Amino acid sequence: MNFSEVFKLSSLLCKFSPDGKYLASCVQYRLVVRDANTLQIRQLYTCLDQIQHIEWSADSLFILCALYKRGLVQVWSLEQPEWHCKIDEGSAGLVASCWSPDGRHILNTTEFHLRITVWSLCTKSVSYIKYPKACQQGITFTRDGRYLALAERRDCKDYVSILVCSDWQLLRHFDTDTQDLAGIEWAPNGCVLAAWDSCLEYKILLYSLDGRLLSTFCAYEWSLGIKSVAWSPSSQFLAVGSYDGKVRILNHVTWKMITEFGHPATINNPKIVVYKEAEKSPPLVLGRLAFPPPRAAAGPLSSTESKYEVASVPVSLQTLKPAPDRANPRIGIGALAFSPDSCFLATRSDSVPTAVWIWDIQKLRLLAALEQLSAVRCFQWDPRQARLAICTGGSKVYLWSPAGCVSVQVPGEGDFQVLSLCWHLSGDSLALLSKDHFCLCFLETEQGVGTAFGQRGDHT
Amino acid sequence: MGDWMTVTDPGLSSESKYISQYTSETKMSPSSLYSQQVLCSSIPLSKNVHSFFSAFCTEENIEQSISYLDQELTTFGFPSLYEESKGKETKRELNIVAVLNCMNELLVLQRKNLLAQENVETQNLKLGSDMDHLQNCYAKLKEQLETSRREMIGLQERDRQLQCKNRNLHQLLKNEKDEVQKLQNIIASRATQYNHDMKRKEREYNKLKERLHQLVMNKKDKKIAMEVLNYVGRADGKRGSWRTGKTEASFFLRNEDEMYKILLNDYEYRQKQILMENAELKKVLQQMKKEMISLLSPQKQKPRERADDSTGTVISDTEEDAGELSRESMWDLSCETVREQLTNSIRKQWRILKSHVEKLDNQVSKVHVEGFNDEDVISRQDHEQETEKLELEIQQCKEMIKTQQQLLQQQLATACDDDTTSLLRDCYLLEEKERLKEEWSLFKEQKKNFEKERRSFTEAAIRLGLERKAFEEERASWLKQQFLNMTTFDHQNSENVKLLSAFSGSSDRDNPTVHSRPRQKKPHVPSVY
Repeated sequence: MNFSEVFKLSSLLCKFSPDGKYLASCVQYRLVVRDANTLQIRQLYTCLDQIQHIEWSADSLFILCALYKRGLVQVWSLEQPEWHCKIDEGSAGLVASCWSPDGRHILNTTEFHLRITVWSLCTKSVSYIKYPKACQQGITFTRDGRYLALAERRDCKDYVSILVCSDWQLLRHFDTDTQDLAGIEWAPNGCVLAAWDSCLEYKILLYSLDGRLLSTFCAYEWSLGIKSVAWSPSSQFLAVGSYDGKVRILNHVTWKMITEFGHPATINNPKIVVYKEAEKSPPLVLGRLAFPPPRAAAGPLSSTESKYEVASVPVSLQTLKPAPDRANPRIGIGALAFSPDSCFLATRSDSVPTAVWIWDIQKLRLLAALEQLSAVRCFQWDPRQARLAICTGGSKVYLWSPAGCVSVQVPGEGDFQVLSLCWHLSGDSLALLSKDHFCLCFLETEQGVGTAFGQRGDHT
Repeated sequence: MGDWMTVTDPGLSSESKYISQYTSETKMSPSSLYSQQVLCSSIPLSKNVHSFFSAFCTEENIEQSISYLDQELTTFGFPSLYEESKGKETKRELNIVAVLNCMNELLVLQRKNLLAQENVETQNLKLGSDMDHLQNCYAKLKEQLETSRREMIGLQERDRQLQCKNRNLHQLLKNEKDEVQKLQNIIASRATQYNHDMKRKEREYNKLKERLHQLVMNKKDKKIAMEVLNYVGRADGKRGSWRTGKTEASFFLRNEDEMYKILLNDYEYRQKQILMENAELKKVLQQMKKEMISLLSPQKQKPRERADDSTGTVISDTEEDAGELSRESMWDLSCETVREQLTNSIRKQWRILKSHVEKLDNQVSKVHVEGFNDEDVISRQDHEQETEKLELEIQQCKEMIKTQQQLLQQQLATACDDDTTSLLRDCYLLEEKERLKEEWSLFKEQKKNFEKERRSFTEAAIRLGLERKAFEEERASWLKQQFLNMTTFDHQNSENVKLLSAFSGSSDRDNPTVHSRPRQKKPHVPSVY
């Protein structure tokens, strides 16, 4: 594993281009485009104000920079550095901005979700979409980029509009049987749309592409409901995580639940491998080949080394008691992600915030659990293989694969608090983002990775 | 005592008159009436009075009756009726005063007795009535006791039932309370969520209001516009097209078409996947079925005579399957009946297999319990012994192989070092070579000897042949002569013939190796004989 130099970054805005060649990062009002392998600066653009959001177009030719405070969107071209485009929403304000899948239209959501303006970069046309819903996930594009599903609310009722992205025509418009639609998401095959209600009611509805209701699923009534939803990449499974601490998996044939995964605080089954992160007192050189060892200064927890130990069952995990009279309590399944081959599902239960649970979907049971020393902030699967990268806000990045797991210290002076991470599309490198900096971690090829990972019996 | 009414009325004749008189006139208690009656009955009536009295004492037995009475009275303690006797011989005179006194005493006594009797009778009556009364009371009380006992049992039973009900109700109450608590918790969490959302919405509303206010007040409106250096071409390189009414409709239809195409493709793909899975599973089931049949059929050879139903079905199944296998292509169709057939046959086979395994298990357990019962089944001990033996054998063989290998390796190892090994080899081989040489020379000698002998034999054989030839010629001539002379000298001929035969036989024996040549001549000889 090689780590690159540390570069400046602001607002955790660092994104790989969809074709994997470039890496865009923001430093205040500057947009820096680097080569993804050599990290050489290719382009440098300056925006008018601090950038809040950047997004690559699907063909990797353009980058949009959204400046919410100023209500501006600036678009830059990679091929033609002198090309520029500025969209001013003026008094309408701006709360969200995104690309359309063809890379030639920009959808701006104005303040108060009054409307969505579709600006075209090819023609002079502008389209407006009225009454978009201000919810967690109101806009979703199909993977092939043909259709857009949009959540709307009119007259105290929720609706979903399906639009064709090529000409922005309305294909279907139907109402959903929800109290307060919280989110919609297309299945990866683009034929089924999942729509779920807010946490006050457990309800998830499945619609076909042509607007027919295929099925409704409701696990229980009255208690707080759905917290997170994820489709498996093969579109065979839909994982629904709820506030009762369980993940329910629905299958694509009958849309009925095939199993539910509980997240208890103690693990008793000896077949499950539990990795516990433990402090290692003398600092050892671990998995770093090209860098000098860190200074063993009297620093905070993050600078000391840690390793994984295989704990023997029964294992009891640290739980967090949520405040009883607060809204959006810290219980339930906060994060869900399927591996790219749909064989594994990684979950995080907010009442056990330091643990990541990895489920084997082929056998429908818990495969491994990782307990970290601090709360898990973010995890993401490698886009090519079943490898999970986890960060907890410390200066380490953790990698799990079925062969084993490893904890790697990010080198550098001082602390590098990894707040977020992001994989390169080939799975060869990983961008680690902290508050003010970022660095790239290059993972070796298959062979090298094999030696870097320990076996289950090893302590790495 | 007013009983003495008209007792001394002798005039009356009939008893009944008296009695009725008595009964009608007296208004007394039954006891006194009774006593009156008694009195009446005890006092004889006037008519019978005399007769009764006269029965005891008549004019004849006065003295006796007086003495008897005196005796009786004295025994009762009364004074004697006689005067005091002056002398023994004189008759005692009756003391009339004493008699009268005694009579009076007796009357007084009689009265007392009657009174006492009355009292006793009245008491008796009273007691009788008291007893009746008490008995009635007792019976009533017993009844009351019974009823009250029954009531008590009934009340106890009710009490028990009520307690039971009470407990159930308590339990229900507890459950309800728990549920209420749970619902309250849910309501509380929902309420906090609602409040939170409300507050959020209110904040947004306020912001909106402010913005609206701002906009209304603000004269200068910031222009909403997009400025771009130049318009970019479309991603797919096509040009935009005019949107007229017709094209709108065509766009709409085209979109619909595309959408349905996508959906259909997805469904077809999924169906294909499912069909493939189905086909695989069917194959697996079929294989399983075949294997199960093959597993079951050889073991069913013996009990076939017993003609179980199951074996019958096995046979019929195998026959069926033979026919079915030929229609394998039909299996690809997901026909309802075909599917059912397959699953049913699998189930049957599985049941047969299961029963078979159970039988085997039973057999094994029987053997464990009873010992050698079945010839086919080997007891575990034997089996273990056999396995031990085999293991020993295997070990021995292995050891042998090891030693052989070692030796071989040694040999090969020794072959590594060239000089010494070659010398050594030569040493070994020298011996061998020497031996060989010796043997070879021996062989050669022997061979030479044999050759010599052979030659000599052949020469001898040739000589012999020649001699024989000559001899034969001689013999032939001699025979001729003899033959010519045979008619005359028979006796001599026969001897000569014997001699000749003996001679020819011996010559044959001397030359076994030269059989071939004389044999050629032999056929001539017997023809002569």
